[in-house]
Amino acid sequence: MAVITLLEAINQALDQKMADDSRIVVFGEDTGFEGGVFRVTAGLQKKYGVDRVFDTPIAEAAITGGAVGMAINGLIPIAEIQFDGFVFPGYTEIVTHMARYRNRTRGGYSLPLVVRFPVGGGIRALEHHSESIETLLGHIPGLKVVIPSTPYDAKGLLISAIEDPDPVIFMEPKRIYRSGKQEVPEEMYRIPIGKAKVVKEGTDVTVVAWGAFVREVEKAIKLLDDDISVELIDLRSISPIDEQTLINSVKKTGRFIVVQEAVKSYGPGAELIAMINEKAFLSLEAAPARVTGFDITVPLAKGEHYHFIQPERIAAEIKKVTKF
Amino acid sequence: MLFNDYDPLKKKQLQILDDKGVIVTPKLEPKIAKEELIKMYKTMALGRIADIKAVQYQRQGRMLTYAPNRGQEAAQVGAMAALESQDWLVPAFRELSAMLYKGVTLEQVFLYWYGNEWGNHFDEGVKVLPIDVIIGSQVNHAAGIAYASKILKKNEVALATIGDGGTSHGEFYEGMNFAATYDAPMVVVIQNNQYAISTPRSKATKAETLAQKAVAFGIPGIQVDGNDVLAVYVATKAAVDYVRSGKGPVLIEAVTYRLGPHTTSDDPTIYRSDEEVALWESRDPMIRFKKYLIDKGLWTEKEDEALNVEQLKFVGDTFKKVETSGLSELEDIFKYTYEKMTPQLEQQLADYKKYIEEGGK
Amino acid sequence: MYDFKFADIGEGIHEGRILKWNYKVGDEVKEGETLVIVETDKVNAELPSPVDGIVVKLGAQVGETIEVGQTIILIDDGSETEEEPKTEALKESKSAPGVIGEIEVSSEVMASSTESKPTTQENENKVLATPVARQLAKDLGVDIKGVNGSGEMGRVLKEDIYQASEQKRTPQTFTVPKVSISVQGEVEYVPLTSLRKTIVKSMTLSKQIIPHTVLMDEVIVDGLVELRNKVKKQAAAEDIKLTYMAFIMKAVVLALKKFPNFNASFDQENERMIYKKYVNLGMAVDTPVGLIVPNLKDADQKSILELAKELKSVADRAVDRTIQLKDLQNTTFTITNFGAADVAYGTPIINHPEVGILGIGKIAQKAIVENGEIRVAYVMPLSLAVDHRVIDGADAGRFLSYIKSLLSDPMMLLLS
Repeated sequence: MAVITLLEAINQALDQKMADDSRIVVFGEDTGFEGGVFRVTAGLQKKYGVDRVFDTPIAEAAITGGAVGMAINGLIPIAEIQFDGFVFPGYTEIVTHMARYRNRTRGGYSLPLVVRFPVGGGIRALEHHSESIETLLGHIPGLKVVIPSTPYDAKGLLISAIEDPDPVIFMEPKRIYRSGKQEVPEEMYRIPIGKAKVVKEGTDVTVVAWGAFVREVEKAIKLLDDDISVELIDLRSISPIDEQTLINSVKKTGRFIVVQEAVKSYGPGAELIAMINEKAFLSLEAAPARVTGFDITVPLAKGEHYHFIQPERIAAEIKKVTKF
Repeated sequence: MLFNDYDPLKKKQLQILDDKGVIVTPKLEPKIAKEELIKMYKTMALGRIADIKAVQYQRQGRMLTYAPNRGQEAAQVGAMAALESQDWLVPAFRELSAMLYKGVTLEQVFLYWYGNEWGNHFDEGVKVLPIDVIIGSQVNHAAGIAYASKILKKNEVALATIGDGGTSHGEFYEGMNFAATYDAPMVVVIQNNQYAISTPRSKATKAETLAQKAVAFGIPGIQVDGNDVLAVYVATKAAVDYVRSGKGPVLIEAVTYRLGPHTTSDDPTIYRSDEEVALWESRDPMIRFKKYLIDKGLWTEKEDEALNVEQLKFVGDTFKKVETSGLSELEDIFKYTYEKMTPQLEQQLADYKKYIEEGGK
Repeated sequence: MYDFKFADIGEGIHEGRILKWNYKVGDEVKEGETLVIVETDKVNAELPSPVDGIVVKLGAQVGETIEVGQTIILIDDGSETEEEPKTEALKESKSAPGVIGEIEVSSEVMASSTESKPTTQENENKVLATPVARQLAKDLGVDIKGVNGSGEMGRVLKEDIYQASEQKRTPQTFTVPKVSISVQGEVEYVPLTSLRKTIVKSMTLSKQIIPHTVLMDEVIVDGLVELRNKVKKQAAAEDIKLTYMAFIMKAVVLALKKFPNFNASFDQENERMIYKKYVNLGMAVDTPVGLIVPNLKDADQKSILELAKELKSVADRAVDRTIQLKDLQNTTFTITNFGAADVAYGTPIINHPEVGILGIGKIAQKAIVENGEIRVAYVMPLSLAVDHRVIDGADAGRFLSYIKSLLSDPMMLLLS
């Protein structure tokens, strides 16, 4: 089995699916010839030709809107937006059309497409290159939103996303594109959308994270004394949320913490906590908590480390919640 | 070549049939089969009647807000007649006659304006997209459809329509540019009816014509008399042929006039004069086309009266049928969100059903 | 009849003025033809007829005002009086311009707004506790309001609730007085068995809360002895060891039926008696490891022979320690056999929550006086202890008397 990075796993998923299904096309700014600014799509144009893997003008609404038309007319488009911060010019098509076409036409047209883009901070980048906008997409009915935390999950989730009959937003945590390798099976496999994963079993507290932050929580756990047993869950699917896995965990531990890179208010943490309150209230031994960024614009490099949650802050919250 | 002869930058506008019904450009008079011409006329007439009745129904409180089409029948049907059956119509929202021509049923049209999404569910093989309320986005959709057609070698052309107001929108430029870059088989017909709600065309852009925006995309553009169904037909046919051969998109500006209000909740007398409206009434596309057909011996007043009666009844019956369709099914508003409902949606629907069963409102 | 109501026509109107009627009463009108021109703030609206028919009534005259929702014209179209047209869009909604949809227009005046000062009301009676703690309190039957919270801000922790529950379970927990036991010389320390510990608890409890009164008497049982001797062999044939105790149990059961307040419990907390409709007769059994009191269920439903049989079985099991928990539970009245220890009288201790216990002494021949003459007879001593809170001396006496009458004349046992 190959041992590869998250980025390579994505490339592999795209490559294998494109060989498998000639309807699949991959496109975006610099996606074709160069293989993307991060080289995620490297080698694909050479292999599958310029019709199927191509560069687009700088026009996010055309990328996402074009994807809508392509999906209607028999292709399976995988549209790339270069960075999280540039989703907004293409957001209009995602929300007003991608998410709604099936409902609008009562199933007359459906859009089996994928929109993928790198997300998240901690890479000391320019403005608009470190956003976490799960909420803005998870809130939209008709979309599915997933985010892998490991190379293995990346390949399996992307294949599922491509094969899904509904539009799927595939978020790629850029911070961990190349940091760390993992065994990834040669053949195609699927990780179902809508299923979280218990990364580590425990009994004292449930901690939920996703994307780059699963590793940060693992780092935090190492800072704890042995007497706190943490159950770590990788959410994987922002929408739909795997409620049952989280509920079962909280029923066991009685304590719940969400770790989210995104800005604090109105974030995924709020949704998860509301859900736990609704469905596992009587099991709670402490108020559900969230460790989040601040309600600020993501700072540039010199200030980013305050906002980007350090493992120490996660560990402190775990201690606080378990002591309540 | 048509586009060279009618360069919008040179202030040329294509007209074949003037407002009196006289052929003024005989060498461009198209050779259209009688059945086709009659079909065109009947569709325009049906569109006209359905439109008038829809407004009446609205005034009677039986129909919700409705966007009338009166005055634009030629710009709509002329373009459709130039398409093949495999070609797509990607409309804005004021395209009644065009949609009818391409196979959308009147019942579906009324059902939609009546407030039921099933009106957007067209019959199998009808290559039409539902009306687009997001101004301009249809151009991006058409670009995508055209691109797919090209690389899948389907020989389909995607024809998008847009209003004069819509040509100010970013998605118009992005979509045109995108399609042009790949020589995608797309035609865009601008229905320049002179007004975007209350904003006159002159306030939408500084360009003298809308057709000349084609220059920015590196593609041909042509301006036609939108009330002349033959000119619209000829220009669209030339565009579709050009585009189908892989040479890239074409932009057509059909100059017409919105004889009615933007929607039934709009009062156009606020922003335009009676004189202007009267002038354009005299340029009514139906008047000149009917004269053309009668002059050609293809139609008679008697047939026209009979058609009117028949279509009035058809429209009335269709609308009454729609009126009895009632409210949407509760499940319907949930179950088309995804192909298969998520556990959350199943739960929400079940909870709400239970609430209703227990007497909730 | 078609009742054409003046509809909102989306121009921001709620009323109009009739400018011109094109038809009068009695005229025939076709669908779509303009009936009337109504002047509004914005435009002069032409209203087309919705149906074919004959004009029956004009809703308003030229120059008059008509409001949205009012009938503008009645047309006889041959139909039944139609209700509202089949649309939900209508009703009294008066819309304003907006191009899309309908927004309501109303001149209703709302109450004035003021900026009010925020009032924070602290609820001092609220108990601070997590959902888990609250559930625990419920499960253990503890009133969480009465629990002292040892957590921050007086929060009630699970430990607090467990503690409260412990105190509740042992009512009037007897605090063992710290008595120092002095020893002199050699001693042997032997830890108590768990059975003994249980007995310590229950005996202490009974003696602490129940005011015992003991009545003693003896009964002449010649008849019983004779009867038993007669029937003994037959019983043995059926493999039943017929002891006196079987007869005694029968007598007690009959007495319990006659005096139901002996087959009861005293629920002090709720200040009421709990009369039991079932009789589970407890038998104190001496076992090598100590006293066990199993009971015979529904003793009132069993014949003497059945009681004898079951008694043996229960006694054997008690000695074997194969007794089940259910055999020990829910006793309603107990009999204890002093006679087995070769003793006549005693002051037995009542098994809480019963209210009485009957001690049977050994049957022995004694000299008695009958009709002024001394003769030898079989005599059985009885010692009855009762809970004097709920059973008075006189009641106890009557109960005992009745048992005496049954045992002295066994025929009564069979007849009752």
